[in-house]
Amino acid sequence: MTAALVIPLFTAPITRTLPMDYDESTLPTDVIRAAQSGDEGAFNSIMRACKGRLLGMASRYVQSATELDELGQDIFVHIWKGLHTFRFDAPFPNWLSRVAVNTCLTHIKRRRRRWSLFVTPDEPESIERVADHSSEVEASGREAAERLRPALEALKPKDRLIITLLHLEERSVAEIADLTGWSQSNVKVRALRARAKLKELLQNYEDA
Amino acid sequence: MKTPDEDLDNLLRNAAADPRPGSWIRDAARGMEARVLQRLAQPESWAEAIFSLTSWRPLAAAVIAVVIIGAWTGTSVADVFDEDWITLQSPEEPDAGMEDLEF
Repeated sequence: MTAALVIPLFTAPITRTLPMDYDESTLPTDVIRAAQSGDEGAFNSIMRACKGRLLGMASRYVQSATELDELGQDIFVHIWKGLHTFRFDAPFPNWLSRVAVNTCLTHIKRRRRRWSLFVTPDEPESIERVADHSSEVEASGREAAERLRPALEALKPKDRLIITLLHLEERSVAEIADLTGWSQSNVKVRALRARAKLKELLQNYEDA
Repeated sequence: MKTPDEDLDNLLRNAAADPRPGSWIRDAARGMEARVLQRLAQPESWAEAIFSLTSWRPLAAAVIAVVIIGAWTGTSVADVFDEDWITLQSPEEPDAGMEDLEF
């Protein structure tokens, strides 16, 4: 840490490292250690390095940029609060992903509770409005996402999480087991049940 | 004819290609670090603010409130147990203050 500023605040000096640009997979250990000891500048460097990937993960559980912004902030606040528990026994990006997945799960639980109280399932975003001058692939992607949305919202949070990780993020069973802390056989069983439930919900929405 | 499973797989595959999250990510990523640090500087909730060791203001406000209320109610309670004070408290006569009035 060459560039460090010591800012005297009250009586105790707080060391604040200037934020730097790093690649997430090669984040220096001393940056992580500095963030663990409360250095906001080092934490800023960590956020810079991993925000693209973590926001990409979180974007599957939201409906707008504003909601993604809120969820992204929640993820980083949880990372900051839990950073002292990271023991360097696993790759840092994996630990970050686990925190992000847990925060997304909490978010969809909260959202589902709110959604079931105040939102009716027949208010999907207008396909006409979103399908403007984009390519056919993009338009079909939007259309499919909008068709899928009410059914995903109605799924139990853990079922939604597993469908998203397995089919929308295309992760392997082993990766999902690592991210969620569930066993691989548990992941497979849950995935089968979640798929069956999703199919049933889609059928119900299409019949209605 | 496609089976329902193939339909579901196609739907999921197409939904994975939804381009909107890309623009949401770009929008949300802009200035994210500053917003997070700003949020970290503030207490999360009332409960956290009251019990937070890093925020002394709510605790100081609570202590001041307890001191003021304690001092106020404390003197009133002390008066109640003070016999001299009680004997001085005679009930007012019904016509008290009426003698100066002219009809």
